[in-house]
Amino acid sequence: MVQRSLLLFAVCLLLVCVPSRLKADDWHIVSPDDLTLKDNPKQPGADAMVLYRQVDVDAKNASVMNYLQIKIFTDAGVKDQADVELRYDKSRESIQGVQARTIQPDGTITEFNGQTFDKEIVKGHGIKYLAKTFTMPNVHPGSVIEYRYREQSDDSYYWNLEWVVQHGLYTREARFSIKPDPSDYAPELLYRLYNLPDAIKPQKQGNGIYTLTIQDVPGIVAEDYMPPASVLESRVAFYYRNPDEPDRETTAQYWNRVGKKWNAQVEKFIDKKKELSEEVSHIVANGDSPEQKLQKIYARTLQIRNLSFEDEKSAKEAKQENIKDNNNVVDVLKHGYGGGVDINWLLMGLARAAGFDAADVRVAPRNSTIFDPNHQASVELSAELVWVHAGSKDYYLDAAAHYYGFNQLPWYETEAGGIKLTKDGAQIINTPDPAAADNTIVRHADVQLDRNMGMTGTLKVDFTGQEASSIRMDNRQEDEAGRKTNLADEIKAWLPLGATFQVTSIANWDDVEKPLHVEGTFAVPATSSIAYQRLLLPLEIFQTTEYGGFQSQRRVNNIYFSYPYEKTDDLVFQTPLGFSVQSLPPAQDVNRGAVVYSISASKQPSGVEVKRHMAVNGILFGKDAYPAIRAFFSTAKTDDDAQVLLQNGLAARND
Amino acid sequence: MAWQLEMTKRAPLFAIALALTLCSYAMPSRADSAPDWLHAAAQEKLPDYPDSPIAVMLLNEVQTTVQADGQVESRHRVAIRILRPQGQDEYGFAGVPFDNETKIASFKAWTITADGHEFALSDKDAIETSVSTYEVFTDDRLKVMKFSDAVPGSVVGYEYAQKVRPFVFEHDWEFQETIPVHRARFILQLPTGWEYSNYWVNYDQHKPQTAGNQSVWEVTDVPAIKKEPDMPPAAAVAGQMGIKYFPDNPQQRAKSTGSWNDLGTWYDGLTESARTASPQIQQKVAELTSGMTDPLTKIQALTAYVQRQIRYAAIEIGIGDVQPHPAADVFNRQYGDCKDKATLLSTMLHVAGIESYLVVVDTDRGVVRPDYPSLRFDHVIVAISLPDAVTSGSLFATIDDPKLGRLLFFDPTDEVVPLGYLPQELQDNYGLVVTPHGGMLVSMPLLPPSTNRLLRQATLTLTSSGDLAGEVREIRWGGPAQEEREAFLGEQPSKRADIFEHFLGQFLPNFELTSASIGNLEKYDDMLSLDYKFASEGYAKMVGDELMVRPRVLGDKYTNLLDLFAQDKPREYPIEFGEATRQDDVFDIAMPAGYVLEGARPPVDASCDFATYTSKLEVHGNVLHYTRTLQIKDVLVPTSKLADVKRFLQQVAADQGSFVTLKPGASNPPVGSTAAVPLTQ
Repeated sequence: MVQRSLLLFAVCLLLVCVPSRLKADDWHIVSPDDLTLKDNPKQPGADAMVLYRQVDVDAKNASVMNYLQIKIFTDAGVKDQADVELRYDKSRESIQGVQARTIQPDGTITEFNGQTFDKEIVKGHGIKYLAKTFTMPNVHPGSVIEYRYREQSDDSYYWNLEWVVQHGLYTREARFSIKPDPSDYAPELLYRLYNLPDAIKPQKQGNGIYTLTIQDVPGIVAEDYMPPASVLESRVAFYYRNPDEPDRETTAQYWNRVGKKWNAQVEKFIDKKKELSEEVSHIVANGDSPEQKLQKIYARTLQIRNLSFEDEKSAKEAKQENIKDNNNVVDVLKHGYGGGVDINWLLMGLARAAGFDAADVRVAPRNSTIFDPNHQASVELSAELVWVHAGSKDYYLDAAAHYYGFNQLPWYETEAGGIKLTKDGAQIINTPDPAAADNTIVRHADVQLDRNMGMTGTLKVDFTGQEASSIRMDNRQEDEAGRKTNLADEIKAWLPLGATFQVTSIANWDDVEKPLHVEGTFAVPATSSIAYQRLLLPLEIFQTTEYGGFQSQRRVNNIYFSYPYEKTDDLVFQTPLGFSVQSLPPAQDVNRGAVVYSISASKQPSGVEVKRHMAVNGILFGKDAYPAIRAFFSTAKTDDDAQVLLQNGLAARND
Repeated sequence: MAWQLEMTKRAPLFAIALALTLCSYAMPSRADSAPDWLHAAAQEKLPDYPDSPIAVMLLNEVQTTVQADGQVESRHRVAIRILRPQGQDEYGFAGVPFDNETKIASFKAWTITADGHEFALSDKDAIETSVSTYEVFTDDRLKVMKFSDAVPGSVVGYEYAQKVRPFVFEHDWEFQETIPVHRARFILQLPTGWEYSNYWVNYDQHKPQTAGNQSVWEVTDVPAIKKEPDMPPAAAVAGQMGIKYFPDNPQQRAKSTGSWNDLGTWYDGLTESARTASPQIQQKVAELTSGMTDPLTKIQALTAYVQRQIRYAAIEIGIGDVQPHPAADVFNRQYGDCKDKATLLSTMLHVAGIESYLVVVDTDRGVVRPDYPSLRFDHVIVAISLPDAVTSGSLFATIDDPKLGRLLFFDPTDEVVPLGYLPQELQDNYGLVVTPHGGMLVSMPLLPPSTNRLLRQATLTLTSSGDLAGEVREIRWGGPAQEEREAFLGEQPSKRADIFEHFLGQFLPNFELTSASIGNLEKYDDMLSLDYKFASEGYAKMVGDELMVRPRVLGDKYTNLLDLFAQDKPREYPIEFGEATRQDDVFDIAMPAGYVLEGARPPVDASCDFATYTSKLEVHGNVLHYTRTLQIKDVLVPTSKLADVKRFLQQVAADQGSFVTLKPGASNPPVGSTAAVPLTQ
């Protein structure tokens, strides 16, 4: 489970600042060509672009100077760029020396009058997050705006810092520098690179200052089904290595040292073999297979009250509930509650007590980052799970995620890189690839048609894997009425406009090993007030939801599905009295490996039955595959809309 | 130096979410016993409530004490019983708005759990956060406390006191909520000699209990406001009482606003000094109107300047919520909020010899009540006094007032609505025209359908395999042009093709947009034109040797509103069409060689009190000629007429979804076949 609490109070170091060598009248020159520029020739059609950006960090003085020069092309660009908001934590930093100005295409300059405001983002409990806000004067399409300021942090600390090179806007040139503290006691300054070409890295100058100049960085374009933006952005992360840690470690040395240290904490926590064996004896039976044993142990850990899913408690509330810290697995068992990590470590201890190999695993959740062991960044491994070898199989389990069945991981922990802890260190691993068949939506509908093409019917839906877990997770604090309302809203959105859906029952809500089963009734309003002799019935009554994300003919990003999945439909339509099936569209069967679709209709004694299946068998597809995937979903929609022709037999005889 | 390891850049969490998270660290205060009033509220016997409410408001009490010097102290007590988990999300915290003019004197909160435990929080457990959203800066803030253990079964309560020196002597007591209210009470304490008037909205009038200078109004078991999609704003449907008080001291009467005239007088006094033209403004007006003699041309030049060149940016501090910045400052900075832009425009018009008035409005219909003058406004526009030399012509947003003459309303804040038009939400709405002689509430016009036009013409060719290709031209005026301009201008140029594709994707399978262009996108006074071409594979469905074709190839005529009726129970609140409009489709579809239309489709002629719809399909040679016309005549549909409108929209939907059959055969007879064999989807 992702350990979010550590991030809660993470300090935001705002990047933007002004180079100290720039004086008030020392603005970066805007060329005549840039003054009259109408569009960015290298990425046409944007609202604005960064002409120049400069960030200079003085580590000893804990100051960051930033300078931004932005060309505005459109009214939307004016709206997006002319109001500036710089957030900071007043308890440890300040924003100083804001200077700004606007330059018109004819070179006319309007100086910013210096009026800034401190907007309270959050104030209280010793915390004061503010935003320095100001608005630029005289900004129009064609203007260049530029502003600079200094962020001054508490110089009692060394601050880690990220240069996020890539933003929403195209950047023509950006220069970064960081001046390390030259003091003898100063720790070594290191950096990590993310999504930058190999040739681009900070260069250490003779004076000890690191510099980086980069040109023509495209803006990140938001698109449907794109990888998480945090995974895409180019950045440089500077950090200080603790002097107590070894210098110049190889990647293997680094992870072995980190793994060993973490492993010691885990081993200490679970070092209660006798008590754990006793517990296991109550959980498993002698005749159980290894997998059955492990599954029972997993189920036992799910019974532990997971405090990580509850609101943070005040001291009084904790006292009221008599909530105590867990120092080891026996405490977890005794108390019957624990944080997510406690629960996973209990799972690991119980698995070992049952005779299995088991180890703690840390991975980089792929909804936020892609693990690169060479970064030597333990901070990236923010998700924690358990590896168990039982029988002849390896299992990756996360009981702390709570809403997932045995051998299921949250999607962001699947196909994720990380390390497995050992007593000697760490082993680089990847969690298993998810399979489409594990994440399914199966829908059975019995539909009665009327002569005006109104529909009424019953619907049964089974959700498995991620599809079920996300519903259970999102609705975990709801009561039954709330779950019914939310599920009704979700399912109603599958149906045609104007349809109603009422949930009549939900089964297996608390049994994560079983499909989440929902039943309900629906009505789709009549689309005609006239009794027709022939009616057309589209094969599929559910929306092809993916289609909306693939309408554009252009694509910038790769295509990304959070997880593979399958959808299977079985729809039985009862025709109106007197009507019979005159013709059926041909069956369709498309199998492109990564994406699969089939649909067919068959005559039934009183109507027609439609079977449909769609599967997405991958996560990441290159943008070159976009036209094919677009065509696939478009064709699927077309085939979903193919028509069954119904004929009124009585009327036909009367003709 | 100390170490700070792995301190990486993280975007701060959304303010209020973070505030609530931080609130969870609040340490309950020492004296944990809840006050008697909360205990009493918690013990109230409640009726049975329908629809499983998530919480019930046991008590909502406001005590307002007016001092002789005009300062107002108010004390609020609120008690809520949480009934369901969702109630914890929505009522698990107490929030008190304040600003530099409205100080919070005290703030306390308590929880009484189902098993009788009590928790208390005090002012220092609260978090403050700005509530500004679109503004560059405002001093409006929220003080928030998160209740301890606010789970189903718990009763939570809070009490706070505020001191305010109001701009005007009026108060809105809003006692109806989206949860049932068991008891609500308003206590008014006036100085000796002061008087009050009150006005009930959406609720039967209740008489107060009076003792001395104190009056107490109480309502009990007020039903919850039902939540419906696209329902009117709460301020328009909630039960509430407006109250005004009048000092006996004539010197304090300036803040009393018993009439619209009073309110106008007050606002004119507040804004008069801001409307002073600086030399720079005078110079700019001279420059913009140089060589112009026609007043209308001058008006066009000045309105376009303020609308296009003065950027919207709001900085509102204290009375800056309602008082504009001086026109000279707005001009120099080239930015301002709605009242700033209106003030600058009015000033510039005056320099050009054209009189105008500020008009205060609310952008939600139904909030302003003509029979209850009050400060319920959220926007400022301009009414331009049209000189005799100007004919109204295409200046549709004009009224002829018996006292003020012809007034042309114009909203300089709206980015795309040109002179002569009014934004949708201001049509058929009320505005307070502020004049030096007081205020006048006027009804702003609903622009007729003929001013808001969409004409979509398509010339298309269908192949025998069902593929459809061709070109479309759309001409848009008024509202339909404004909506589309906003959409295109809000998207960066490189993404504008996506808007065409998204539109086509709603109606066409397997399509390619082969070309697209936009005419007059930034010429707001001109019609907007869209030209695009597409090809759609498999548009017509093949059934045997026949082709099933939907003649209405593109476009939806308001049938999305049918979703507003997709509820378990009949709708309680009215719906609104966006505007009165006329929209025409003319689609010519060349049939594949050797195919003819099987039979013919009878024309559709549907109507209700608010709209009409006609469509017909004819055969011109080998071309299917499909035409349809929708007219919306009135925008606000009362609840009593909803069933009619639903039926009307269903007829439109049926026509939109209907198919015709093309079959192999000899050429069709001329226009007007009668053998009707329509198909519907």
